[in-house]
Amino acid sequence: MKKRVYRFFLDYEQEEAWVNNMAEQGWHLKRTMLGYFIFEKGEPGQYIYRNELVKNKNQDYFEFLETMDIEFISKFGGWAYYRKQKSKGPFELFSDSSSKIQYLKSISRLFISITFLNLLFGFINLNIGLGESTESFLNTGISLLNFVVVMIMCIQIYKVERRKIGLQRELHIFEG
Amino acid sequence: MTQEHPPLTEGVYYILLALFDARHGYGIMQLVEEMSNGRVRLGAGTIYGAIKTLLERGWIEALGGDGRKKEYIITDSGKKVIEYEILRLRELFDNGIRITKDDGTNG
Repeated sequence: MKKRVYRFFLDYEQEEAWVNNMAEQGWHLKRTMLGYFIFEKGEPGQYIYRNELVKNKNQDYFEFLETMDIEFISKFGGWAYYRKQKSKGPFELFSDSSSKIQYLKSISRLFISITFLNLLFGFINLNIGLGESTESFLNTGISLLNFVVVMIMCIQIYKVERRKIGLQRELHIFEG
Repeated sequence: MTQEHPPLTEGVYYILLALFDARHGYGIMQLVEEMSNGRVRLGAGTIYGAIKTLLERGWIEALGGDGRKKEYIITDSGKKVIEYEILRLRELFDNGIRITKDDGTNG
């Protein structure tokens, strides 16, 4: 039995928590596409799921994970989902603060570049939109969308930075 | 920190120890968990990142074998690093014991 759900998350950690919640109820994630999830019915609580930004990761990395009992599930838009059987112990991709910080930095970099691109295109579209042409109405609309994305991304960057700063503070007194 | 041999992270210390015999990622994870009685559970992403960095530094090297079965082993310079670290840990340990014993509140 399959379940298809449309749901859009802005926060990747909230999305992961929701996917794990579904797994607890016996709905195991099989595929993801931007806001579209396909689950398969199975034994409740059988798996733990994790997502990861894998923009610069190669095949070698996925093969490495596979040798660690980690099953690759789905990849879309640079984000991957994995799962591990709960009976095989806890499942975290990163176990110490320094590797967690490294990971958060790569997320932050991506979010910041998305923000700047939207800021740039927002102004370009606004500039065309305020011009003389009669078709320019559309550009004004798109520029508004660009600015909405900028606002959303700024909130996400703030969240990631706050997590990062929390971890960095721990590193002052703890090693990992 | 401006020490000549800055302290290793717990994870790197245990990964280097685990590689005194040739092991692949899964073997490292298992041995480290075993050695620490389940206290240190290294994440797969953390181990992968550490292996890459240790290879770049020449503290470990990859043995033959294709992707899935690739094994690693510590190099001579890696062993040097471990020796320094053990000396450092002994210093921490000895000072800790000496001062807490002299404290008198224990006896």
